[in-house]
Amino acid sequence: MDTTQLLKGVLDVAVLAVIQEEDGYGYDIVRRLRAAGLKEVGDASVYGTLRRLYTAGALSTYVVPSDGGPHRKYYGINTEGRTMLAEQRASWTRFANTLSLLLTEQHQPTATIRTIGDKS
Amino acid sequence: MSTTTSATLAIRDFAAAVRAALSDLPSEDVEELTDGLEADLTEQAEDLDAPGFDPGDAVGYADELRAAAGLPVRGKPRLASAWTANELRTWASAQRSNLARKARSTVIGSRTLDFFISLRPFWWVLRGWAVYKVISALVIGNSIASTLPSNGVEWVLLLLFVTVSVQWGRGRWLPWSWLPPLRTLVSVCSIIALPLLLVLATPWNSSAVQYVEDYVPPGLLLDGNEVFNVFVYDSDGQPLTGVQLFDQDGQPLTTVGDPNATPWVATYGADGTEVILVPSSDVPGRTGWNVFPLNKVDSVDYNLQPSGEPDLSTATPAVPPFTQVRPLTQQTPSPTAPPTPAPSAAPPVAPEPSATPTPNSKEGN
Repeated sequence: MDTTQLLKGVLDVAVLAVIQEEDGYGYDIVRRLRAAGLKEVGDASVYGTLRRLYTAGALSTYVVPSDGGPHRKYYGINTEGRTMLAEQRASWTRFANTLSLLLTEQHQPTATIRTIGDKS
Repeated sequence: MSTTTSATLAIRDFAAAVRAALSDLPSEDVEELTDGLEADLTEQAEDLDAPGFDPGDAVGYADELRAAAGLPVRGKPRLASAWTANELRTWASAQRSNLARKARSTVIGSRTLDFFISLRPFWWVLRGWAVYKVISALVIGNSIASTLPSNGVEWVLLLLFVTVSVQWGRGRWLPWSWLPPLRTLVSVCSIIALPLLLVLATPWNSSAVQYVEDYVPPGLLLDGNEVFNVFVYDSDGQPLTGVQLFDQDGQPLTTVGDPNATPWVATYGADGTEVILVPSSDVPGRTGWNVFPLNKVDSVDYNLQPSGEPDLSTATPAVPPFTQVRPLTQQTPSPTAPPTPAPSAAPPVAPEPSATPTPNSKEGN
């Protein structure tokens, strides 16, 4: 199973979660997602997601001047974004529990530990 | 930590290719999607700290951006003829980006690319010069065969075009959206025109003139001018005939290049009349070109002698410029008298006057 495919469905909630911690600009958010363990997250996917979440009204933006470099567009979460994050967090938890349960029932415990990304 | 120039250029190219691939979207969407793209990529390159940062496939990247942003997928071009300028630009931009990426995949390719990238300023200057040449030829009506301006106004013009070209090359001075396409157009025209301009501006013509000027005619020269005949006067100022001249090495001093291969020489006097000179007939083989003054023969009547060969039997002494010159004062030589020889320069053994000056000359004709 390709984790990048899995990521596509959950990138919104991941991005919202990261921004809720602290406002950030495009690559900063990519970096934090990767540091959190989502190594395979594509930067273009993150930038596209940021744009979509902003258009959907979940994020607000502001420009921060930087010393000697280009100005940076920072994204921050707003009320609507927080609501969205709460909803998605709940649905993810439900989904993850369901799937974990499903996989635990179908296979031996050791097999489930081999992770969903392992294609053996 | 700073990225290398080549990485910066690769990022700039890549970002341009991404924007081109998104160009079917409204410009504010493209702006929103790619705002800060260069800065993000630069930071990513710094994070990786790899010498050859590879941003990847620009079209794929643009598709990923588009998909994640929930924007419509780009439609495939239906027909080649239906290609718009934007699609052509997308394609060219993607090709350029992919080509650079492929070149970067090998060490030699990467170094070659870096080499050419380092030549880019030279190209910018050349482009400015090409535009100057075309403008000055078309507008001012200058000769296209000159490399550099000839007056102050033209210098200002040249500097202006070169400055704009360099600024364009650096991605500056492009405030309006129609300027980048214009830059591309100017570049393409410059590439086409440059070989022609360079050939025309290279001083081929003046080098030909140079060649002619540098041509040294055979025979005796005085200050670069050919000497056809020599008239000798003795110390009393009277003309001498049958004088044999030799140089400091004992070589016969002749007014022609190859005495053996020169039966006669056609010269023109100051009044334009033809004077045909022949060597002394006293030397066998008619090679006595060092016996002065040379004789002259009658001009050739081409009706009677179509080959143009003069009749050597008509040889008569050439007319000297002076019937006589001022006699030398015995005690104090006149300072203006050039023939006075230095006492120490007298050759110890002069060749026999009757000796054939050239050993390989044959008797008779």
